[in-house]
Amino acid sequence: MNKVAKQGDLSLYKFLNEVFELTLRANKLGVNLSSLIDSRELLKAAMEGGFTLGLESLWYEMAELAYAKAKNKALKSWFDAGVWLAKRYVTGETDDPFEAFKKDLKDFTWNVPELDVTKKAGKVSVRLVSPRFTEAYTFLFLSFLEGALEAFGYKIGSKEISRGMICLEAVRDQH
Amino acid sequence: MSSKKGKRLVYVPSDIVEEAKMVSRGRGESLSLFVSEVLRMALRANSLGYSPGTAAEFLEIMQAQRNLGGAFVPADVLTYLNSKACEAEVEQLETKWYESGKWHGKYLNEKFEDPVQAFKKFLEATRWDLSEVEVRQNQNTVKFRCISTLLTGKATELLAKFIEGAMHSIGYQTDKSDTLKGMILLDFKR
Repeated sequence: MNKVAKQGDLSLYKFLNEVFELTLRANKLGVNLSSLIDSRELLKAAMEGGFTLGLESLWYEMAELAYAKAKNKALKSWFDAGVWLAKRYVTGETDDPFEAFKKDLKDFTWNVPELDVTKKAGKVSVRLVSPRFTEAYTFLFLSFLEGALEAFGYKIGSKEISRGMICLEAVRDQH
Repeated sequence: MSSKKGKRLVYVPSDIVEEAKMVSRGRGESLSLFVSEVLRMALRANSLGYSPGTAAEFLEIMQAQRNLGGAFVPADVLTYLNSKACEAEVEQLETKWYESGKWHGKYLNEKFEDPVQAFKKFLEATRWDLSEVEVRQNQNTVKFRCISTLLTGKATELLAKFIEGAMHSIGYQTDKSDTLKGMILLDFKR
């Protein structure tokens, strides 16, 4: 602790006081210091995963515009983004690429209240519920998931889609 | 400061101790456990490159971002959405970005004592496609300079609209605007 204080050109006394002030400030915001570390790690992972952080409402509105004007091109752009993200895990050195993908996907969709991804015996099930998703955004996000699953070697078996809700099942592609 | 049996005594102002006692009590922890946990976290935050001061700022910005409805979107998708390929009208896109900036600025204005600095920190923390965010603030003027080697020309223009929207909500007017691919130069006055 002394070493860290000195690195920051602070006395131990001053350093500790700053730490406590930070903790109490965080407490007033309803968060704790571990959430700071989580946020930092999340941002780093998102940056490395090729994501941009912005306002949800803006993304929805832009997606609506793109979907209305050029639906197929928009779907392809999301599909390709899904492929790209999944390939990052498939070609990386992670022990379990799918688990790593699943974890990051959950982290990056912090605005989605319900996202369950389960993998069992050559089958993947995805269930997503997000009442704020627009219809266009739902279909674009579905396309993103399809791209990712395809890159992991799965073929979509069945899907049920409605605004803000995606339920899909994919099976391992034997070809 | 004294040392005894591997433990050290460090003086902390009594008001902070009282508040820390209240927080630890609220969590059902002893003060000693709470203090040890806080210090452990502080060392972890330090290893991520955060001093207590910068950590507090980052924390507030991230919390504001969550409250505002922040969401991640694949960068390639954003590039597509910003481009002509998606066939959306340029003016429509500009309006969306401007309105979104206005909303953001309004929130920052309500929430932060210095909304201009908070906005700068927000851009630094969340727009990692920007390699430089410089804000020079005088009594009645603010100069923004953002540099990126990754942004396309259109994405630069749209981000500039977002910044203008935010600054207008904070109470500034655009005095001068100059954007070119990867560079935003904006002057505002009260």
